[in-house]
Amino acid sequence: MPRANASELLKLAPGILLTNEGGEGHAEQVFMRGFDAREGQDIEFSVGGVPINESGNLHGNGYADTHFIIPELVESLRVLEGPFDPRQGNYAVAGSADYELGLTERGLSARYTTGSFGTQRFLALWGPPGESTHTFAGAEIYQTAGFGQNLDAQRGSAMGQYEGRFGTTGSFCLSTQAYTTHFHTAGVIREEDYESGKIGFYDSYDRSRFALEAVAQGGDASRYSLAADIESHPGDTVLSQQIFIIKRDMRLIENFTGFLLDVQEPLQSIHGQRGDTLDLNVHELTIGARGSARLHADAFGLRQELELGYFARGDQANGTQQRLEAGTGVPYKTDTNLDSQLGDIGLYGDLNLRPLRWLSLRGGARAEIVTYDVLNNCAAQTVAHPLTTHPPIDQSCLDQQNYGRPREPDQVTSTSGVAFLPRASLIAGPFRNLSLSASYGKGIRSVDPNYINLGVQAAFASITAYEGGVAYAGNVRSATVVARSVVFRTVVDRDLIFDQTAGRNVLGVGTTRTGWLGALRLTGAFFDESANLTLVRATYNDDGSAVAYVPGVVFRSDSALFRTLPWPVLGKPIRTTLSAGITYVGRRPLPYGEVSGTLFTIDASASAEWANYELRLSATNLLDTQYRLGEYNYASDFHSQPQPTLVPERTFTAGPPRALFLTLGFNFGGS
Amino acid sequence: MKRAPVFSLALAAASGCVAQTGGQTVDFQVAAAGPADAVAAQPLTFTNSAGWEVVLNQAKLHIGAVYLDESRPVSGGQATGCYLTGSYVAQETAGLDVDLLNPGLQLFPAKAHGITEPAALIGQVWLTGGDINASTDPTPILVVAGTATQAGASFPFTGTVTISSNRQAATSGAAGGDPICKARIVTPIEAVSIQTTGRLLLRIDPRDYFAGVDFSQLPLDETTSGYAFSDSPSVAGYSPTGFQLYTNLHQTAPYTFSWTDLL
Repeated sequence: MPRANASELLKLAPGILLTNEGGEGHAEQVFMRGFDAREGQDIEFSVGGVPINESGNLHGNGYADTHFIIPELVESLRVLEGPFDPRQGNYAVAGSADYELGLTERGLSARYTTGSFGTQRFLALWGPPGESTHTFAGAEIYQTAGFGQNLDAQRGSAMGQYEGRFGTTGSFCLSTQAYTTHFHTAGVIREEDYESGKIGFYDSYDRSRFALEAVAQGGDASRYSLAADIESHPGDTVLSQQIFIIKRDMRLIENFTGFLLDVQEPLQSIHGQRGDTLDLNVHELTIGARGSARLHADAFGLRQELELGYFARGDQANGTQQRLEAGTGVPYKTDTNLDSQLGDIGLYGDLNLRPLRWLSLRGGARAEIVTYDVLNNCAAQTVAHPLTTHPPIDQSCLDQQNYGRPREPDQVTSTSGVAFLPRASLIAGPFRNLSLSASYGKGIRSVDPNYINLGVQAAFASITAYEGGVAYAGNVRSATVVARSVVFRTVVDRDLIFDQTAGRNVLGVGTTRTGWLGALRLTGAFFDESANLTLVRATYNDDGSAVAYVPGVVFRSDSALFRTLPWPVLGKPIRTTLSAGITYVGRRPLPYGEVSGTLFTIDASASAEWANYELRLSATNLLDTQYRLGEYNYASDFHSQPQPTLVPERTFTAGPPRALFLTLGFNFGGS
Repeated sequence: MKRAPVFSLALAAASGCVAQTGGQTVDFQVAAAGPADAVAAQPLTFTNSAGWEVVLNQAKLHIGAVYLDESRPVSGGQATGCYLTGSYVAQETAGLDVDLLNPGLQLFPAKAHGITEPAALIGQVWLTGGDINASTDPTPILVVAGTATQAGASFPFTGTVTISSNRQAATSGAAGGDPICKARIVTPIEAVSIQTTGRLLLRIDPRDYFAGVDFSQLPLDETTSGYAFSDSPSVAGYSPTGFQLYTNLHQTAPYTFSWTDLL
């Protein structure tokens, strides 16, 4: 299946559901193994080893926006479920995902896509013949008017990489990347307002007559990075070293609750509800490195391996969040203004021991330190007994304490934490193509700097995960079969729970996920089928109730048929491919005893390649199902009734209707 | 016998079961009524705390909305806020003119929406004809008429209470002042928990509106040759009777929430 962006490649991994309530430039919300990983906070994302998770992002610590990755340049995606590999670091709660970049199609390629909702995409790729697939350049320009109100987007992305060699065994790789986008988002719709005809399914309150916003929801994002890798193979050792620098900026304008939260406070001029629009701005600079030495030796007649490595990153993050007046777009309140200096250094040892031909013991341990130095530029926001002669009227960041004692509005807080994370996997087999495995691991997710400022001393949440499974790999007639069945359990001591008032996940109580996943891959001469099913139960540790928003059932199937037609044209064959992707997501528990609807969508694509030319027609949501991509149950008031709506009510974000896209492409100069 | 977790998961998935987060969301009817001992279409006769024999011929109250909340207000907290802290657990946002002399259930025109958990502790009755923050609202909130008698002296009276610019405190534009919305909300009224069946009943006893009123202090109404409660705090005749009626309108005593299975 063609993928609209790099996140969609994740759907090939079992149990993954992607949603996006924030628009095309907003990171995909990822559900994995029963985790509502939000924008990646529970998955360690990287591209060629360079981290994507953003430490210090105010919208969510570990926010991971993969839209900068041009999907045609993804050579492979390695998804590890659970925190069982010592190489996995911060944010590897549900697992990790590493994109490996490469371009197999050499020469100069260009593609133009046009389709529904004014969507256009220009793509150019260049892979010098004779060079490694890891040497390439690519760029895309994309724009769409969106499938509904206030859903337009524009973006541009460029990626380049050069892999060279030195000496007899050494290699190096230089990568660069640039990405920028401007987008809008429709936001949520109250179910009652849609049912009563006050607003359309694909509409936005921002454009409605009763909740018009001067500044519509949406945002901007950019990412620029440089990375360099070097690898050498002296003797029985593989040494590698990587350095990277990332500049990331983001603006996100969202309003989940309408006109609900701006209650009259004692030290404010009299006002009505001015609107809950959040204007969040993040500016980050990340510098880091990773390196490892991998040794191998023979023992018991088998190859044994030991790897020692480190990962280090420093983040300078500025995050502000203000509330905007609906009518004018003018900020009327500052919620947060943080300057954070964050450190994260991990050291690991990984063993791959094979005492017997049928037994492998993998694992080791990781030690991780995370440090916080947070300057809160708006540290004092309330004062119980202000100076009566000079009360701080309408000020967000106060300069007085109780009874008028003066103070500076800013304050620094710092803390740190060290975690020791043992991890191990035992693999027995194969026995008649069957392998058994058992894994145990501990992981961490560093907390939002905002919590450090609020006095939370623990620098991270801890995760303990267990997994046991059986896998089959073999041939059935002419088909290659890979299948596996896994049971898993993950316990988090403090989980992230979505809070619509903050517009992001906030730290909550502990949770436990227990589940099963089954995956099957069938590959033959003319077909490729990948299907997976995940069942999971996510509960709170304190009262055993279900964790809201987490789907209990996720099924995904990707099928492809490919063959060369027996009718060559001008002596050249026509290669064709038919593919389909089916997604089913079961009902999700929502707060206050509600449950969501199910999701069922089919995407399809047909393509033909002849000589240097390619023609592809693809459709998303082929059945044109009107579905609710995200469903929530919380209080919101969008002025759709004469009196405010203050009680939790179903709201949703609309999933896209059927869309058709036609792509024309050519390639010249390839080998 | 305890099932294996995976077997339970498969069974749950196959049956379409979804784990529950707790509580339930319900839509239910809300009714308002006069006191249970009133007789429909007949005047309500009573003696107020100042010793006046009152025959009430008319008592109508306009309710803009009704809300129930999980939190009891903290003394001194949210000094000027109009919304309660914590989660609202029920709302009736369709307005209703209630005949307070009728003990029968008068249904609000649209169903209310609520959740069963957490339990409701406090209720709010919004006395408004439109936006709670609007500076003006010409809606007659309370309309009363009757006759008060004491020691042979009889005082036929009328009264109309509005909550508009006439209630905007002189200092309320400044910080720490009283926003107009506060004048339009009666709270904290003892609430009842939302049930999955039945309806919410709000009984309003108009007798409490006249507690302590000395009808002999009523100003003359030249248009009716009777007496009238003043609706304008800035005029001389407003105090004490107009002030008392307006104050009593905002006391919680006249308002009682209950959950009922009555049709």
